Amino acid sequence: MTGEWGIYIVLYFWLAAMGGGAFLIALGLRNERARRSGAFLAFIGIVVGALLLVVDLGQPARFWHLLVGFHPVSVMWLGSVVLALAGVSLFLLLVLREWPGWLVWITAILVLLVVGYTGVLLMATARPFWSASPLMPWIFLASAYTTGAALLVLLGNHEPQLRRVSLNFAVVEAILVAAHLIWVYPQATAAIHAMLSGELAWAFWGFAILGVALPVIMELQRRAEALAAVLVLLGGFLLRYFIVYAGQVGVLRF
Amino acid sequence: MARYAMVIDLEACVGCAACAVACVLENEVPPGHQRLWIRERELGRFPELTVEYRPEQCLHCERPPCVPVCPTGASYKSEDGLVLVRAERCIACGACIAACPYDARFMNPAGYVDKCTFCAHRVREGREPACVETCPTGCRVFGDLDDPESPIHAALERARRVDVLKPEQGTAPKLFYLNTPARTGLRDTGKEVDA
Repeated sequence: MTGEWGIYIVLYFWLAAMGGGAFLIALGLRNERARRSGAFLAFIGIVVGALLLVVDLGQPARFWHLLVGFHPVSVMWLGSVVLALAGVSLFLLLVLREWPGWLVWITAILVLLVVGYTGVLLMATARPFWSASPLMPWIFLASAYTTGAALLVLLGNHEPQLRRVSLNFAVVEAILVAAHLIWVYPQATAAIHAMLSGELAWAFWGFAILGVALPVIMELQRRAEALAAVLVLLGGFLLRYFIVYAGQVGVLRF
Repeated sequence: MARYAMVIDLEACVGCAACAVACVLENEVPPGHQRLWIRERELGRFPELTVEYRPEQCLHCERPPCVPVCPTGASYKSEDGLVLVRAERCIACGACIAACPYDARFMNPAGYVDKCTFCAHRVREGREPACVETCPTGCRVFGDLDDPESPIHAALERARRVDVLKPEQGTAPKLFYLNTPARTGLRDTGKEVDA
């Protein structure tokens, strides 16, 4: 227990974004089965993610402290409430035979907030790599769409829109990450060096090459769709890995 | 109400770390962690150079960024201006640790966030914080900014220069550094000496 954010947080960011992204994309597909599986994936991602968050606490048995108080100025408190509400409304969707339109809307907004919140949480810190640019939530949102689409493809959905979503958002994500690195470089020089050529280089270059460049090329050539999707998911994990750890370069000991 | 504050005269500090030791003993700080530590910086170039010893700890900011981020209300600012943690409410999530621009907080292995309290338990009995009492050069002065009789006012007035850490953060710290060696015009080489 270091008091800093580590692998459980990385996994939570990844699972919640992947499942949440799959749900949001599936809502746009005219395919009942895909929408159901999207809701299921988001539910699993959020429940497992929430469990990881609890385990990561230094006092897991006190997790209920988060839900009994009222601390709306705390980003983490807001995030916990939104996470709990998103879990409840996804559960309702899973058990209901017919989806009421309003519930779909509410759930979509809650899931969008869960996915974006992860970036806002990092921004509400004094760690310049996370907070010196406003791009963190948008990077996580873009990555939720790329990984969510990849997850739906892997589960046997072959709508042509999925490839387009995954491809477009991979490009958006790459541009946002590049812009973020340039933006925060003056304040977070050590973190960027760790990413480009230091102890996090494997994760950053793994993300850039295996998680973005390679699957984009494969998807453009329409080859090995499943392998490309696996690579995108791996990239989503590596992206969150280097972001979470780079923010703590100089604070955490590797 | 009181508004407790501290000054450290860096011209008088010799970097002996007696304050850091006194703090560990007084507050039973777990091994491997510090509420108070000494930062050493090289200033200038040979032959015109000096080392600045700067004790650092929680600055008990007027606008502490660690307090609003707390999701349970464990982290709070007391009526006498101290930034404190209610250990029994803390879930040890680390949000405040990441929000502190000064890295003044750490995770106590007992499962709560720990930091300098300005020795609130002593201060409220009318005693000085352990680091102040123990300092052999008297470079530390503790007092109440709201009390015109407090010795801290005299110390602040006597100083040729008063600095706070990272003023651009807008936190309004209540730990003031007096007469930092930077006034000699020596350039910070950016080199840190490991204490």
